[in-house]
Amino acid sequence: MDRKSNIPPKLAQWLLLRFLREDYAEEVLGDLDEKFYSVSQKSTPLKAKLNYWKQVIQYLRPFAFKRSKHSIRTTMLHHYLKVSWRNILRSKGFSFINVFGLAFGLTASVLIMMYVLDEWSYDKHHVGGDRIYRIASESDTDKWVAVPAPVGGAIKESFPEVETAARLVRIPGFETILLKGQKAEKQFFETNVFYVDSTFFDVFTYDFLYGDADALSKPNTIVISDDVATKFFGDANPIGEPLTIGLSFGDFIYTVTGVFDRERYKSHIPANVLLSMDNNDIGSWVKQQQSWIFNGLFHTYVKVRPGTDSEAFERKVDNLYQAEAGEDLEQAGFTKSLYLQPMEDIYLHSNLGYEVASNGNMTYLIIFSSIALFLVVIACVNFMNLSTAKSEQRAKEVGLRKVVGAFRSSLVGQFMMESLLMSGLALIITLILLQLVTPYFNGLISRELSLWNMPIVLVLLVGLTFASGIVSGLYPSFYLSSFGPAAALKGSLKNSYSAKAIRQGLVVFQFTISSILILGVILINQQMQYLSSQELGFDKSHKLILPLKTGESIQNSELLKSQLRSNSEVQQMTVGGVYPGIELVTDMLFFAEGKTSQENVDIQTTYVEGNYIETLGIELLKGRTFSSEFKSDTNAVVLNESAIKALGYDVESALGKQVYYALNGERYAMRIIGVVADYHFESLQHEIEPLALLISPAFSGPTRYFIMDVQSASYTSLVQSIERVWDEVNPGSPFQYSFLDADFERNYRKEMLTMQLIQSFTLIAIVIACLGLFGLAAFTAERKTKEIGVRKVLGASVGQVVVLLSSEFARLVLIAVVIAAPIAYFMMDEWLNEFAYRIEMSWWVFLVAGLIAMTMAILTVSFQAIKAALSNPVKSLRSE
Amino acid sequence: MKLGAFEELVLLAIGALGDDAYGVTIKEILKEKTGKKPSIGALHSALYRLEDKEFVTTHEGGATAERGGRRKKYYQLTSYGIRILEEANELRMAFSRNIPGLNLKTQE
Repeated sequence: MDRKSNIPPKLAQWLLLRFLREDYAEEVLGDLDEKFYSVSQKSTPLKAKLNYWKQVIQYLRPFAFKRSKHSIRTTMLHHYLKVSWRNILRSKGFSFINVFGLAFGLTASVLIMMYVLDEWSYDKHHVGGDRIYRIASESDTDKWVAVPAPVGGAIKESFPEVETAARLVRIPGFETILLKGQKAEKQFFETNVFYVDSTFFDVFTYDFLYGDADALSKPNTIVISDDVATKFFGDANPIGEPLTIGLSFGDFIYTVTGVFDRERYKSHIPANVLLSMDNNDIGSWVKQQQSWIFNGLFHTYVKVRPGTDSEAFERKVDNLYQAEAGEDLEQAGFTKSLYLQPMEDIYLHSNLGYEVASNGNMTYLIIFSSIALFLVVIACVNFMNLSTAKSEQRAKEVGLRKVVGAFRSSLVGQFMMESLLMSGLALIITLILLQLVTPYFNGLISRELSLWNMPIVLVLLVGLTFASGIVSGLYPSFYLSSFGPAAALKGSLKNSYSAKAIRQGLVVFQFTISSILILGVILINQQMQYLSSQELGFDKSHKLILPLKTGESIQNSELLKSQLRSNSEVQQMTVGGVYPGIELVTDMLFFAEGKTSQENVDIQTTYVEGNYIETLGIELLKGRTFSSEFKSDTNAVVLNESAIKALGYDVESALGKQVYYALNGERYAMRIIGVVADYHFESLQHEIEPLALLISPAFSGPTRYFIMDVQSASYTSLVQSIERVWDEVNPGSPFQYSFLDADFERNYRKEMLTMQLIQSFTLIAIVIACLGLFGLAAFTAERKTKEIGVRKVLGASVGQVVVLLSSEFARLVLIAVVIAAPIAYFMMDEWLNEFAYRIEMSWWVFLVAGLIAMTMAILTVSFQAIKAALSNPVKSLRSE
Repeated sequence: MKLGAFEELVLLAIGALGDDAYGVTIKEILKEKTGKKPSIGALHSALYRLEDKEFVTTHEGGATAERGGRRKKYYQLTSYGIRILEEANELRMAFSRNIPGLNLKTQE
C-alpha cells in the first residue's frame, strides 16, 4: 500500500485546524486518526479518506469553533471604550471644553455652509442653463442689464445658433400691482410681477403644478405662483379662471393658464406673477418700442444651441447692434455696446444697473465661506491642541501598557478610539444644537433652510468631525506609542519641544484668525455708522409714503391733499414720481446753451408736483421751487449741483439759463428756475449723479407716490386716521403705506444682515479660541504646579507667578496680532471699495483690535494663572 | 439539569465501557447498540456538553501510534452522572406505569 495514501488527508486536517478550538484539537484529531486507520484497514484507504472528510465537514458545529480573532477585537474595543470614557469623565471640565468647543464651531460653520449653498443654488436648475445668456449693455457711464425692445427679436432672427429667446420687462413701480379676484373682497397687492414673452418658459425651467410651458402662448394670460393661487382660489385648480390687474390707468382682465411651485427652484427672477407681454394694458406700448437706443427696459435672455462659441456669439451680437443702432447712437451723442452675461452667474456676480431684483453678492459669500472655514479650523485646532496636550500626561499609562505587553497597534487604537469618541460626542451635540438654532437663523436670514435637505452639508459635517477626531488622535497615538516603555515611564516626554512648538504655532494661528475677525467687525461697524450718519441732503425722518397704484388714487390725489389739510399732524404734502431710496431709472440727455445735442450730459429725471422740495426738506441753494402760480413752470427745471457742474454752468449764475434735450430730431428747451444741493436720491452705494426735477407731465412715468411730512405723538393712530380719509377718497383702492427712513434703510438690509451675522460668528470664533486657550492654560498651570510651589517657597509673589504663567501666552497672541493686521487690512480694503462712500482705516483700529484680542487672551489665561499662584505650595510639594 | 436523549445514550455508553471509554470506543458501542452511526462531531459535541454539566470526568491516556501520536481522552461517569441516569430511568418508569396496555418488564 502506498504510504502516502495511507495517512489522513492533510487538507482536511488543515481545514479542521483552521476552525477547531485549540483545546479540542488533540482529542478530535486523535479520534479521527484512530478511526481513519481502523477504516482503512477494514476497507480501503479511499473510503477512510472520504470518511475522514465527511467527519471533518460534520464537525462544522458552533460548539467547536474557535473564539475568533474578531471577538478578541471586540473585547479590546470594549476595553478602549471603557478606558476612553473613564478618561473623559476623569477630567470633566477639560472634556467639556474640548467637546463643546468643537460642537460650537461646527454648528456655526454648518449654518453658514447652508446659507452659502443656498445662495449657490440659484438658477442651477434650468434645462440647458449653461447655454442661457442675458444681453447686457455698457455705455460710457454705466453697465445696464436690460436692452431696448427690438434687440431680442433681431438676435433670434439673425443668428441660427440661437435656439430661443425671451424678454422680460420690469416696469419700475409695477413690480407690485393690485390683483383682484371675481369677488370684491379678494384683492391683494402682489410683489415681483413681471411681463414676459410667450417663449419665457422655453428659456427658463419652472415647476408647473397646473398648466405647462405653453402657458403664456395666448394674449392676456397670467401665470401665478402657488402662494398666489392659494390666496385667490384655495386648493381648486385655477386654470381658466379670470384675474383682474389694477393699474394706474385702468383694470385689465387676464386668464390664469399656469401655476408654478415658487419654493422649488431659486432664481434671480423671483417671480410671483408672470403676465404675457402681449396684452391690453402695456401691450401696445411694447409694440411701439422700435427704438434701438431708448427705453432699454427689456431683460433679454437667449438660449444658444449646444456647442456655440460664446465669445464669437457675443461679438456677433454687438456687431449686429452697432449696425442697427450705430446711426441713432451717433446722432444722440453716446456710445453703447452689448455683451453677454452667463445666466447662471447673474445671481451672484451681477450687481449692475436695473437688475430684475436685488441679487446675491459674491464678496459676502466669500466672506461667509472664509468665516465658516475659520470656525471649523479654529474648532478643530482647539480640539487637536487640547487632545494632544492632555495625552502627554498619559505617558506613564503608555509606559505601563507597554511593559505589560501592549502592541503599538493597540496603543494607536486606544488613542484613536478616544479621540473619535470625543468627536462623536461633539457631532451629536452639534446635531442637537443645529436643531435648536436653525429656526432662529432662518428667521434672521428669512429662508427655509434645513440640514436634512442638504445631504452635502451633512456628509461634510460628519466627515469633518471624524477627520478632526482622527487628526487629533494621530499625534498621541503615533508619537506617544513610539517611545520605549522606560522612557515613557521616566516621563521624559514632558520635554518634547516639537509638540510644544506645534501647540504654540496653533495658538498663534487661532488668534491670528480671531484678530482678523475682530478687526473686520470693528471696521464693518465703523462703515455702517458712517453710512447712517452720512448727510443725505434731505430729511428722511417722519416721512409717510402712500403709493398711488390705481387710477382712482392718482386722480384723487388733490382731493386727498385737501382732506388731509385739516389734520394738524400732517405738515407738508406732495406727490412725486419717486422718493429718495427707491430705484430711479428715468433719465434724459440734456445739453447746455451753445452746445450741440452730441455734447450732452446724462441727467436722471424725476417727475414732481408742487411742494416736493419743501416736503422732503431738500436744501434750495438758488432760485425758487415749483409753484402753481407760474403757468410757465411746465418748461421749468430744478437741477442739483452736480447737474449744474456737469452742464458746465455755475451755481451762482445758472438761474434763468436754458437746458435742451432732443427727441425725435426736435429740440426742446427748459429753463433753470432753481438749484438744489446734492442729495442722495438713491442708496448710499451710488454716488450722487446729476438730477433734474421736473413738473412737466412729459416726464411723468407710470408711478406716483403721495409723500407726507408728519409729526405725531402716536404714529399708529395717525396712520389709522389717514387710512380712514383714504378709504373715503379712494373706496376702490386698498390702503398701503411705508415710512421713508425704513424704505431707505432697506437698501442696506443686506449689509446690516451681513454685519449681524459676521458679528455673531466672530463672537463664536473668539469664544472658541478662548476656550482653547483656557484649556491650554489650565494644562500649563497643572504641569507647573511643582515649579510654582518651589518658587513660592523661595519667596515669589502671586503677581510674579501670574506673570510667569501668562507671559508665554501673551507673547503668542502678540505675534498673532502682528500677523493679522496686514491680512485684515487688505481684506477689509477690498470690502470697503464696494461703497461709494467709505471710511479710511486708521491705525488706532488695529491697536484696539490687538488690545481686545490681547485682553481676551490674558483674561482667559490669568484666571488659571491666579488660581495656580494662589494655591498653597505645601499641597503641591508634599508628595515628594 | 436536563439530559438530552442522545446525551443519555452517550452517558450509558460511557458507563457500559467502564475504563475504556474514549471517542472511538464510544462511537463503536453506540453503533453496536443502536445501529446508528453518529458522526464524531456530534459525539464530541455531546461529550463536551456532558463534561460541562459535570456528568463525566476526563483524564488523558497514553499516546498511541494509530492516533498519530496523540493522546486518548478517557471519559468516566461521575456520581452526579450516575444519579442523573437513575433519575432519568425513574422518570421513565413512573410515566410508563400509567400507560394502560404498555407492558414493561421491570426489576421491581
